[in-house]
Amino acid sequence: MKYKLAIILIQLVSALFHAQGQDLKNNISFNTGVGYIMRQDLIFSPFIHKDFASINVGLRYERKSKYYQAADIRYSSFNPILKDSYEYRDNGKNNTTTPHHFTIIDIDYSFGKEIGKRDKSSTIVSGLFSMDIQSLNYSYGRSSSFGYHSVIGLGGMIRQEYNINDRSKITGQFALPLFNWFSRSPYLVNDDEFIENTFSHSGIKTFLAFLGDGQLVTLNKLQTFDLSLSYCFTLNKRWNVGTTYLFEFIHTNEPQTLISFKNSLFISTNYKF
Amino acid sequence: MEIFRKIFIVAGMVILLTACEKMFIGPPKNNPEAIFENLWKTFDEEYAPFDERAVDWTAAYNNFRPLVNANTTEDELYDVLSQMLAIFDDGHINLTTPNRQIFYSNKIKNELIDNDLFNKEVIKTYLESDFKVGDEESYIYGKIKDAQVAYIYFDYVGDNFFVLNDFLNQYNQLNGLIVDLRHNQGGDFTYCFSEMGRLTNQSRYVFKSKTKNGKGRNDFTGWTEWYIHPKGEYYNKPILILTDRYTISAGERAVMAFMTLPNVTIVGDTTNGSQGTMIGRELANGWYYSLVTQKVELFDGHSYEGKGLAPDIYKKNLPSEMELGIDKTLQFAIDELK
Repeated sequence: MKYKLAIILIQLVSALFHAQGQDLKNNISFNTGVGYIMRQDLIFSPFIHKDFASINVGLRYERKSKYYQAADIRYSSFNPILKDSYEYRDNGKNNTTTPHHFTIIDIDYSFGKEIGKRDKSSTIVSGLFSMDIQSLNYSYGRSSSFGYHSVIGLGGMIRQEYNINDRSKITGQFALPLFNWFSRSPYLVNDDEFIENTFSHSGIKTFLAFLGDGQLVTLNKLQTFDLSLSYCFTLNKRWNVGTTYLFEFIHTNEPQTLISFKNSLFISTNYKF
Repeated sequence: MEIFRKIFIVAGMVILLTACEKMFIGPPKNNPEAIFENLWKTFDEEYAPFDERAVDWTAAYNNFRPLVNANTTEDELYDVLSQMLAIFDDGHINLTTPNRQIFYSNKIKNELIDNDLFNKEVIKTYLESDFKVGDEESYIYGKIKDAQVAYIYFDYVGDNFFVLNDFLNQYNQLNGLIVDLRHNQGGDFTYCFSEMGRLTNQSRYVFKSKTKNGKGRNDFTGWTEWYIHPKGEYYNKPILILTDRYTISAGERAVMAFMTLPNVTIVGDTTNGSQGTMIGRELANGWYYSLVTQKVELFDGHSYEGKGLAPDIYKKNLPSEMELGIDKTLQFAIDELK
């Protein structure tokens, strides 16, 4: 992951120098807003966990030149609980139940080309590299369970931009990972393989061991896609503001059914350079 | 034209969002009968050691299901579920509900039987004054007064075991060690296995385990064998392990590992007998419970789930002795190593 981040940073810096004195081809945007998740993961619970994000932020870099490039990183966390927290006693000590805690990190990189341009609209298609890393802490009163979900995939993205007028633009985007390295908690939360993966007691080694236990899957075993709709308003030559609705979907039956819908509504601040 | 495009987009979003809910698998309903059914079915599909604990789960359904109907109150439901879970007598099964004491399926844990026969404050009186204590007494170690014996207590099995190496370095000149696993709450046995490499001079097979991976009674992963391996400077002096009825879970797996060592003697009472890994579950009314998804067999090929690991030398403190500040079990271990 560090390697990928380094590449993105290098590209960002090189793009910055390259752009000096030319058209403003690069765009970096900071996104923050509300997020809402609905998630049912039968490994951990038969119930649907719903919550608004306590944190939901993203950073996006985009370059439009001969080729189109975009890199996104998004972070969100959720604290769903089935019913309100309550107090209980354990050998004379008062305790309070706590919500589950989901941390979700998405990293996407797309590289492609504009394939169609009309008066007010343009279409971009690109290849897609995507990572979806989820750390799941399920709390069951006195006990808790750690879970993980990781998808590292290659696929495609299509993006349609439409200029409403000189200052306003809407953009729709659909990203579909097709070939994925898919790692996820075992059938009933943990097993010997899971325990072996934690034996190093090192966070990085454990994470890599979990990844190593994954499998290569296509759409037959994992269906996941992102769909977004953005509105962008130009303030001046360098600054834009906008809003983005993002819908993220995951479905798999491996090793048990997971269905996840995540909806985000971001407010964006964009800087062109 | 533009207005139609906008309407189309908004309508599409609404359809997408409303369709989402219908994709989910219908979760268990929040009423007494559905809650009972959900808990019973989950155990039926996910609990591993039915045979080891000789539990006839179908008979339990037949006995307890008629006690629950649509008008069952919360208190009545709690009584029925806790009575049904008591059949297991499993230290890993508990039921957490609002404003009540946690119900433990294991009678010893639930009724705190002989809980007072272990007291850390009494233990401290046996130690020289420079003993060390971890955060929230996760470990206590030091030299026994007037004896060439080192003592260490572990409250659970986790990162507190990282202190084991320092402990061995500090007291490697003494006659031997007492490792106190009484009232050890369990945790993650891999911390014990990774940190006790200095206590063995060869790889030793400890136990094997397998985990449920399907809804059928015999749906399990393959067996995985667990070993301890030598690491670091070998410590080859007598070691006495103290156990009691509250030595549970990963604490018991730690005892299993110590049992493989030729220089170890187990002293105290039989362990709890709850060795498989535990997972949590939730009910539609917000209650929580836990169950066991794993079978474990010791190196001798036997399961001690529901039985516990018997000590080599049986010792049990008396309440009257504890009141006088005498830990007879610890004193016996000290005398053995003097």
